[in-house]
Amino acid sequence: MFLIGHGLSVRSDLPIPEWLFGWAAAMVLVVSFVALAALWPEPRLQAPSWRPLPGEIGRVLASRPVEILCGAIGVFLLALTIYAGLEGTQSTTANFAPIFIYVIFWLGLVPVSVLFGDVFRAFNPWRVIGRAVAWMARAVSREELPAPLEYPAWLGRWPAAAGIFCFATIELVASNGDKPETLAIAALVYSALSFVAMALYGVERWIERGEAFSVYFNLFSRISPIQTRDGEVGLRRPLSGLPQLEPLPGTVALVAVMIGAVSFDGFTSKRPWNSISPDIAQFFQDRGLSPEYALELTFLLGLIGGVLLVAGFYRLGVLGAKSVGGGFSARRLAHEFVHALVPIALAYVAAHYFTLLLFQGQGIVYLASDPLGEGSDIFGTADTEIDYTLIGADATWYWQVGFVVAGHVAALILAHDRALALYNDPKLAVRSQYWMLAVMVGFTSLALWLLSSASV
Amino acid sequence: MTRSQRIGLIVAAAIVAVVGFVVVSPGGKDGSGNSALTTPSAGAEGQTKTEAPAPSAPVVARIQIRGGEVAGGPPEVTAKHGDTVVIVVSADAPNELHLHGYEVEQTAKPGQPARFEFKANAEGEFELESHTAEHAGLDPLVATLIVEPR
Repeated sequence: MFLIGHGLSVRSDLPIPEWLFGWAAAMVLVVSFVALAALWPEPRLQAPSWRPLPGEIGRVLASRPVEILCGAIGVFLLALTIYAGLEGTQSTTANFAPIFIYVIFWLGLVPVSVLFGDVFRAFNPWRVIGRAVAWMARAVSREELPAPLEYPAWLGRWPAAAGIFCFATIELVASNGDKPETLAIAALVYSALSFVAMALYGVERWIERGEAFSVYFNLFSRISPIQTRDGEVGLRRPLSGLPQLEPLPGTVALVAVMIGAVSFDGFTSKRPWNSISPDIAQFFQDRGLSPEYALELTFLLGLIGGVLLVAGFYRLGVLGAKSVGGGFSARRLAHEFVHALVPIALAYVAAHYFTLLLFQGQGIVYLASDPLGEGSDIFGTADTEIDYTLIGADATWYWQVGFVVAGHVAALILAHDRALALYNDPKLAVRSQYWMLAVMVGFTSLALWLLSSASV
Repeated sequence: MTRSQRIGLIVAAAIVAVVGFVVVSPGGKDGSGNSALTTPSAGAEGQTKTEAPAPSAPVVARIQIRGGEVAGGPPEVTAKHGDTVVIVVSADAPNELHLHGYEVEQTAKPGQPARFEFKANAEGEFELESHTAEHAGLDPLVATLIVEPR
C-alpha cells in the first residue's frame, strides 16, 4: 500500500523557492498594514446589492427549460459515475469515476462557482431527483404532500461539515479511496442518505443546509458577482454575498474542515510528517492493527489534527478580539467573522490544486470517449494524452503566491468591513481587527509554508 | 494623534516590516539555484548515480532493482528544463516500469536493462513506478524525476 497524499498524484508541483516565499510573505504584511490604515472607513459590503442582467438574458438563464436541461445533465453524470465505478476498469486514471469526482467535480466546480455563482445548484442531481419525486408524488396523490419535519435549529450546517469531512477522509485517508468501486459505492450511500434527509426535512431546506456539496460550492459562489434571485440572474458586488451568510451552528466547523483538509494534504508531503507518521503507524501496529489500518488511522488522526488546528487558531483570534471589549460573546464573534475565512479556504484550494485541475483535468477528454477504460472510443478522443508542458514551474509559483495573497486581501476586507458594522466605536473596530489580522496572517503563512521548499 | 499621523505611522511601520523581512529572510534568488543539481544522498550509495555537469551533457541515472526492492532506496533524479535525461533500470526479474507524466513504458529483464531517454520539457515532480511491484502490493516507487525551470 502506498499513500501519497492524493490518490491521483502522478505529478506534483515543485516547491516554491525560498526567495519567492519571502517576497510573498512580505507582500502579505504590506497589504495587511495598508488595508488597516483606514482606507476603508465605512462598511460597504454589508447591505445586499443586486440588479438584474440587462434585457431578458437573466430570465432566460434561470428559465424552466434551462433548469430541466441542467438537472438532466447532473443526473446523467451521477449515473455515469456510479456505473463506470462499478462496471469499468479498476485502474484509477483509466476510469471515469475518480477523475470526474476528484478533479472535474470537486476541484473544477470551485473556480466555476467563484466566477459564475451557484452553478452547482442547477446541476445538483440529488436536488433534481428530490424535486422530481416530490412533483410526481403530488401528481399521483392529487393533494398537498404532508409538510416536512422542522429542521432543528441546532443542526445548522453540521451535516455539511460532517459530509465534507467524510469526503476528505475518503480522498486523503482511505487506502482504497482512489479505487473506482469505492467511489461508486460512496456515491450510492451518499445519494441514499440525501434522499432520506430530503424526505424528512424537505428538498430545499436540506440542500441549503445539510447537503455537503451544495453548501460547499454555495460558500464559494458567494464570492462571485453573479447571483440568481427570484428566477432571474443578476449582478452584485464581488464578495458581497459572503456578509449575507447566515451564521448557523456548524459553519465554523465546516470552514475549519475545508481549510484543515487542504493543509493536511499539503503537510503529508513535508518532512515533519514523513518522519513521525511511520512511528505513529508502528505504534498502532504494535497494538494489533494490520499495517494498512494502522496507516489509515495515522492519517485520520493527522486529518483531525489539521482541522482542530485551524479551528483552534480561529478560536484564539476570536478570544483576542473579545478581549478588546464591546460586550460580544466569543460565540457571537466567531459567527460574525467566519464568512471572512471563505476566501482563505478558496486560496488554499486554488494554490494547492490548480495544477492538478489543469493537468489531470485533461484526462476527461479521453475518459469521455472511454469512460469504463475498456477500449471504446465514442467521440474519437480516446487516444489523447495529458500535456504536462501546459504550465511551467515558474508560472505555477507566481499563480500560487497570487492566489494566497489575493485570498488574504479578500479575507481582510471582509473582516474589516464587518468590524466597522459591528462595533459602534471605530477605535474598538480597529483594535479587534489586530487580532483578526493575526489570524489571517497566520493562515497565509501556513499556506505559503506548505507550498514552499522549507522543510520539504 | 490625528488620522494622517496615524496613517503615516502605519505606512512607516509597514516599510520597516518589509525591509526587515527581506533582510532577515534567508537566501536571494541566486542562492537557491546552486543546490539544484546535487544528488540527494538517499540514492547515492554507489548503486545510483545522477550527474548533470554542463547543460549539453545528458543527466544520467542508473538504478538497480534486486528482489523487488530498489537498491539504496528510490533516488531523486534532478534535471533542468530542456536537459536530455537517461534513466537506466536493471532488474533481476522482469519488471514493468512506467514513467508518469512523460508516459514512457519499458520493461526491464535480467541482463536487459530498461532504458528511458527523453528530453525534460515538462516541469514538476514525476514518479517512475513499477507496475510489477504495484500488482504485488509493494511500494511501486522506483525513482522521482524532478524537472526544474532553467
